[in-house]
Amino acid sequence: MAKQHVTTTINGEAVEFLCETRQSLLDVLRDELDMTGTKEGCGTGDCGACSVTLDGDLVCSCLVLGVEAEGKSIQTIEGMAQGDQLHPLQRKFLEHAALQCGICTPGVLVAAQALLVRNPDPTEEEVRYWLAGNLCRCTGYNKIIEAVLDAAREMRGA
Amino acid sequence: MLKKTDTPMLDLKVVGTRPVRPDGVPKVTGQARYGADYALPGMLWGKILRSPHAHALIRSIDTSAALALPGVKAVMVGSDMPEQPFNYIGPDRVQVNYWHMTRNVMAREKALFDGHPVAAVAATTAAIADQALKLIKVDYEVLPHVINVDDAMKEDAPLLFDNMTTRGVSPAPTKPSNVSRRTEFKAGDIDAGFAMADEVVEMSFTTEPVHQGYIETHGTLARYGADGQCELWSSSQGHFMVRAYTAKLLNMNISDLLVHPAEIGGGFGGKTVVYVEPVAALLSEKTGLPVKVVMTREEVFRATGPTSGSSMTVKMGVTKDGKIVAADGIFKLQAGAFPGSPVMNAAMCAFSVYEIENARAVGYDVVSNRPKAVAYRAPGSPIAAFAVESVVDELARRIGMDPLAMRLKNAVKTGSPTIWGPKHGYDGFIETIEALMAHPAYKIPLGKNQGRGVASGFWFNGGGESAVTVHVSEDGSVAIASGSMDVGGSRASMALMAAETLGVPYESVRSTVSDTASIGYTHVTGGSRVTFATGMAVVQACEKIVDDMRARAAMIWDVPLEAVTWQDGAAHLTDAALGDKAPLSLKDIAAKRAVTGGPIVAEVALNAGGQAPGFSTQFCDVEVDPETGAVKILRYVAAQDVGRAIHPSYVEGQIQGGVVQGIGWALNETYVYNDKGQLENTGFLDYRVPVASDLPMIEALIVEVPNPNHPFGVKGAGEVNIVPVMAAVANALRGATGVRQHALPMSPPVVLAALDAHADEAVGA
Amino acid sequence: MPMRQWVPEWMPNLSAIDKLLRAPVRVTLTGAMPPFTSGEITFELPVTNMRGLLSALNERFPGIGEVLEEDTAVAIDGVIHEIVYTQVLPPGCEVFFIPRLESG
Repeated sequence: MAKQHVTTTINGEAVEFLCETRQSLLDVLRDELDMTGTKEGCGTGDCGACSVTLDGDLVCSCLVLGVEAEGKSIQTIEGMAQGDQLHPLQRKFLEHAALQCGICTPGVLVAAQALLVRNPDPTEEEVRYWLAGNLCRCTGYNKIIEAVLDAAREMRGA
Repeated sequence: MLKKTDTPMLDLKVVGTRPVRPDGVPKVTGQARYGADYALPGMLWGKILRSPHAHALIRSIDTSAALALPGVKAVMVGSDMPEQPFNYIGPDRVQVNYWHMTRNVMAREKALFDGHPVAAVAATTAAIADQALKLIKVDYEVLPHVINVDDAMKEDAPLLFDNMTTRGVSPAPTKPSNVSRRTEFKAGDIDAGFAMADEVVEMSFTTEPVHQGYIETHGTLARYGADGQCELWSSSQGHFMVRAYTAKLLNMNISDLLVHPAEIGGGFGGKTVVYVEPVAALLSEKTGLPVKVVMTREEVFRATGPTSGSSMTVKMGVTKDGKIVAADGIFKLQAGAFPGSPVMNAAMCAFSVYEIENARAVGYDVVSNRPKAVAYRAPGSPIAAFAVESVVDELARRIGMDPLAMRLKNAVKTGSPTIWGPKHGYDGFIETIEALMAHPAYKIPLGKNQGRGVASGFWFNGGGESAVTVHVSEDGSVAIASGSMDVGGSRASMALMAAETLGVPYESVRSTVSDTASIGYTHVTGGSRVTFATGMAVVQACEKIVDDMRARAAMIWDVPLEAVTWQDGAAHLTDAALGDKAPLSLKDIAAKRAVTGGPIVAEVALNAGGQAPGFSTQFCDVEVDPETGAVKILRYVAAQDVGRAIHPSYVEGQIQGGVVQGIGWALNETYVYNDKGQLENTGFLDYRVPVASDLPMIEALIVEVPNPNHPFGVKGAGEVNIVPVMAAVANALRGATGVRQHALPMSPPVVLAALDAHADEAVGA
Repeated sequence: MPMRQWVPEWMPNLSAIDKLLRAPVRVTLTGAMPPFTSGEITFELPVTNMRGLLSALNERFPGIGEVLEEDTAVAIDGVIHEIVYTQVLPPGCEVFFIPRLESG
């Protein structure tokens, strides 16, 4: 079957790629575009390691087809830092030791950023429920929650 | 060589602080490369065909149609790997039997579990490889299967191995069974002990296998060259282990295999073995091209080792003033398809926190038709602790004693006996109990349907072989490299220990992991050994650098060596009579390295011993919904003796992570098999690990009773924190509902059924 | 538990003072080690390091030395070590050979 030609925007840059209709956006990012920052933990939308935003909406890229990216705007972990400036969330994750093995970290950061865009002053409970779709096996979530709340504080200028 | 530290170093400048880890930026920007993130030109995709049957003879495999599919470059079956001798030599040599190991990687005569690899293909795309798998014809003769440990031990149970008789039994049995080994540890006279008891409690328990649950699946890239040399990029807990096992299973020279340590996305013991590496290497050899094999999540659940399920009976006796006088436990652990459950650990750890003169622990290692068990965080100890700590809780209730007071009264310390022979060599347990007793949260009053549970745990911790190289660069900055894979942030603690020893700022130290060709053999990252053993090597290597610096400074100043000291990262001339010299920093000396002898390098390789065990005492408050059986964790406080916390944030992280894994083990995680022995919950939706919204903040109390055998007093921190958790939660449930849980997981339907069955006797907190 | 004491052939004629200063090391092999032993056994041996101990045991049970090296760890007065030839055994210490442990 002939591949589909897709035109999209990734992290603010215009991107074109070829993919089979059966390939997920996750497959495309990792295997066609060599953007391996987004991880596959389960392939069934349960772990959140593949989180990206699609037109601002937080999605599991393993549940989105590559062809669905046509004409849309995608943000991945690779686009989170601004040049050589880490995003406050990235900085706080490092300061708070909110990562151990780091495999869930790209997905958690993308998800946390999506939360703070909507709700710049979340409670601990709101952060926990928003991140319930991002599994972490190493940290027990403690320092992740602390880092997100601290980043939110800094971003509010509080 | 051990160097005793009489007093722990008190005036520490960097050890004990919380700087950012040196490998952090790549991990928060998506740049860090894990096992599945590597690619090479011309790379093929490898996929594995797996048995859909729990137990079957493999009569034949026809791969011709698969090989004929355009895009498929090679296929393999089990017999493509060299045969391994069947070796059971010496005491309890169950963990590594290559006859079993090669069959775990790919089946030969029989498929022994749903998901057992039977063949593999390499093709130009993943989709073609998947298609090719469907074209492989396997002729199975399905056999009756058995899943859980009690069923597997029955007289008429289907046998996995027709010639397996139980080792460790005298006289040796002639009838085959699924019990591969019996193990026993004993001290004193348990009958006399129970005769002294005022209260005796005997209870039975079952637990289910739980998976380590690492978010990263197993993945590897292999490049086998025409010259017989192979490179592997693999995420594992030990690239030297990967090299050793892969070379053995493929009959290669070890030095023809070079393993690069990819970043690893969680292991917890489950990545201390190989699954995909020999397959990828063999397919790469056949095709002459690089081959990448990455497991799906479904494959991970169906075919990679969880920890054992168990069936246990524990009987303990106590006097009315709280002295435990006797303990007797039977621990039946299921090994999965091949022998090797952690039953020996379970038997040894079970009573190891208590001073009991009369005790016995008997263990059985039992095979059944499910994936082979592999290490999981203090393997065996959490399973035994669930039973033992539940019984201790009941005994405390019977005599009306506070559970922490009961543990304090019976706590082991230096010189206390164990049932496995040696006396305890270290203190630390009592301090964890005292930390909880002093904690204000332990006194928070509880409400309706709430309960508080206490439990303690023990784990050996490991030593072993580690190699480290340190070199001082031309600008005086320092690079340390070790053979220890970094799972949880060990590069940071290595850098801290190096910076402290050298007296330089942490930021001037770079910490990396070297591949198998670049550094000496290093044992796996697991067993809570890295900060201890590799850390010891780092310190010793830095001490060599310090000696080297002093010698070079003496040369530069033309003074005797004795006149030079090393302080705060610089050489100082102590004798003013020899001249007024400004101190020479690492940078100053590095600039003169050529004339003072050449590059500034030190290597230390050691086989570390003198490690201290881990002790942890924890309490947990829960609230139960009597309508649904759902359990909510209200608060959790875990105290653990870590000797010395090199980087307290990462030590806290280990404690919090282990506790949460234990909570999942206690409340939700299990394997659901259908009546054909096929696994039904092969994904994270139905294999329910804890998520952020399930939990409160877990409070980690770091207790420090230094280990004199380590330069900074380190005791391993990674594992013991999971040991008490299931019992702590079960004991809390007992307090909340009045009902004792005997089976894990304590999921809502299970708790509800137990509540309903005891409706008349259930009492509030 | 039966205790055996013997002096291996290559350690004849220790002087009385030597025997006094070198309080024997008490060694236990925990658990069965077929085909060498069938249960727990304790010995007293006048040795000062691991190499000497392994040689002495190997003399009594030929072949056991290699098994101990490969498959056991050792606890010396309660502190666990790997089997290393140069490991010092202080006079009168208690040594237990315990199974090599698996960890994760």
